[in-house]
Amino acid sequence: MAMPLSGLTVLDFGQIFQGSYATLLMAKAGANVIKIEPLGGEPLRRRTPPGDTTTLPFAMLNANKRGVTLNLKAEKGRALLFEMVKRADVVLENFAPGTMDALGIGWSVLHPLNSRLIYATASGYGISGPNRSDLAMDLTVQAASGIMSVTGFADGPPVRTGVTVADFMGGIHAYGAIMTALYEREHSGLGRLVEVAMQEAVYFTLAGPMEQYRRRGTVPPRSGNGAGGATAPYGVFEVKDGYVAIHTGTDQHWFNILEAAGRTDLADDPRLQTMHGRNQYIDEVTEVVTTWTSSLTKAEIEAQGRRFRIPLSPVRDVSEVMHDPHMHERGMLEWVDHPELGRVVLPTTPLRVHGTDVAQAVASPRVGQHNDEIYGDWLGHSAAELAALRAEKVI
Amino acid sequence: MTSNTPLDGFVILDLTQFYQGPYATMMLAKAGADVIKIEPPKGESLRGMAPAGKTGSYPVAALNANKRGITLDLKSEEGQALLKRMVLKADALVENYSPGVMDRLGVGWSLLHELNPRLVYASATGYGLSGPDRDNLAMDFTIQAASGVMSLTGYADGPPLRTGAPYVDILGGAHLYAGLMTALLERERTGRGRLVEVAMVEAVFASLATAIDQYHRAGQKIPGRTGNAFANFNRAPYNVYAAKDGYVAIILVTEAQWQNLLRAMEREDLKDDPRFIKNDARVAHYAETEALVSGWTSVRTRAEIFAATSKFKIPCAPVRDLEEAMHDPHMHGRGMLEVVDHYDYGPVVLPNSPLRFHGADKVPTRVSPRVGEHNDEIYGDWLGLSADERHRLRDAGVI
Repeated sequence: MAMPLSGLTVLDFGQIFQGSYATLLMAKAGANVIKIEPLGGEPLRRRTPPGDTTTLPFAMLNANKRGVTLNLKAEKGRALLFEMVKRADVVLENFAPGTMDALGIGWSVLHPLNSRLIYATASGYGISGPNRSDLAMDLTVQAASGIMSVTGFADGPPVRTGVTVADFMGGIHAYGAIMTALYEREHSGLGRLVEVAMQEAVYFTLAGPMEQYRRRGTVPPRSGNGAGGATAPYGVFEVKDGYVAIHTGTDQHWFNILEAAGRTDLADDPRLQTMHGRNQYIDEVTEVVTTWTSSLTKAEIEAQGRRFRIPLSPVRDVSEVMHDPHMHERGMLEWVDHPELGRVVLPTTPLRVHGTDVAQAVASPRVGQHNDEIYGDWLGHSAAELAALRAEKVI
Repeated sequence: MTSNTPLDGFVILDLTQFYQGPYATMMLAKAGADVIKIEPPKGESLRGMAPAGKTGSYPVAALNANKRGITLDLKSEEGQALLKRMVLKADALVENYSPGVMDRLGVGWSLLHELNPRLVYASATGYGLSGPDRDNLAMDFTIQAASGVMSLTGYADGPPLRTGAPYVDILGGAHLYAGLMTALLERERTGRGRLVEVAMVEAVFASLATAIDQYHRAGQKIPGRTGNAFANFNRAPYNVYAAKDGYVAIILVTEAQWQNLLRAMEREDLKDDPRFIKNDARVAHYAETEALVSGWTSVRTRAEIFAATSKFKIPCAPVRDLEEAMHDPHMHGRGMLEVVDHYDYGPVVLPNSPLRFHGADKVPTRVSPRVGEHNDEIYGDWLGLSADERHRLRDAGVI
């Protein structure tokens, strides 16, 4: 199989979401990803409900990786890590800043062992600066970064985005940084320390709201599902069986809505020709839109959006997304028989490099499942040595 | 140009517009690549959103720093010919037009690949280049709806809620950068470029992980919206709490943190209270737990709360507004944010790339180009067109 990252070996200390997402995409692109966990497994495994051995997020984010256990607090554990580092291309970790250094296995120790190694660290606030040691979770980074402050209604509190924004933003940036350093290494022969902070990875999402802030001179109020007067119609409207989001990007989209709504009588209305005009008569505009949307189902309005060229989408729930025929047909989503979960929908990768293969789905590893393969076959330790390491709780 | 940057010498033809594509090429430029932003003669669509009398806006300035700008009418045959000449000298082309636009103009992947087999061609769209939804019109807002994000944001008794920061665009752009670099790295081995593709709706999928978990555990029951609380309200404390001067987010992950929070709140009398002893118990006594925490936060400032939670190692953050985010001493201290003198704005806080390459030189910030600012530099110095020829192309509206 031709895969872009074939031959690349990644030592993956990723945990929870951020780091694990970056290494998942590497595994799907053909890299040999070795997930290194403490003896009890990484924290995401601890969210497993009683009686089960894994969760769907764990299965999603750790597919196509091999799993080993390693006690980094033991000297023999660190020695094993050093053996692996000498043969690896990338180390990735998303521990709190300073954790690896405190264990004596930070960049400054590993780099001399293998000058070609790329060392990637992903954290909430970065490895320098006054907030470096602040505890970072997706929710707190949503708050600290400012993105929470622009979501919600003017008369209510800031609202969190209901999915994990900051972790995955950080993860994909870490992936990009690692590829960049690997590319550079092809020319320089040297690895680098690369770094991503979640807070910084989300900064650019605020570019639009910051423009509003600069124009007004004061922080604008939260605008719910409205566009703050920038475009009209814009919003979330009720349909028979749910909601639809409509974003009128150009005046032409408005005329397309009129056609779909059977209201071409308004096409020449001089008051409604521009975004500005429609904002002035927003109640009338909204009436036209809601009369139209409320007569249709999600499926019907989606079809009309396609036919009349209107930027809209039904608000889909988790189940609709997981079973989206579009993403299944494209191979982004697939049904996988997982030994612990049964038949489940898992993602492949959103990075499509045409002409290459995506790694065939391999189920996420159990804790330490590949200890023999990695420490034995790859590093060359004997069965007796492995047994001793196990007994000493090194692996 | 400095040489100690990861992408030194790498030439990008940047046909991108709005947010998604420009974000990817901005990161390329900040990593040392020579990014040539190619716009229609009137400028790309995002420039049209500038206030009257201005040529730019904060998004234009932030997303296009360190790029050189030229104009080109891709609808004209001469314009297409010029693009092909540039393709011969470039490493990658990046675009985020609707699927099929470049093909219809006669400058799609298959043609450009034949011209320059080493070219990496990166395409970013809403739904991808294939599949039944390929031609659905896509904006950040509509993809928030289509991807499931919106269904999970907001309150149970209200409508689905938009995330006010168009993060889907930026997330798509970060994936585009990642895909492009992957193909570039592969090219170093194979000598051949690839078509790389990212769809926003797919870039978002993994971020639904927690909701997917809830859905799976609940026997395929759709999780509802929970405002600022954890999915299905099954963690406490986990919320945004009112402070005297705004809000704070507090989230507990371990039982030790609960004991620490009691210490921070000086309520150690509750340390063995069966209503609060474990997360399950606190979830069962949700209102009481929330009242306990919000009673403490509501009479303190964000700074006081944060000082206390920091002391006791409890994950917490003040909810910062835009002004605070832009002037964050931490990001300024780290060099992520800097004050730059911009022709449209004067001194303005602009971001650098979130990708940090330690030991590499920082690419000195250059402000975003004016429309066609570097036409002479690129068409003249780089492609070798004479001044007369450039004059003619300008008059003909090609550049």
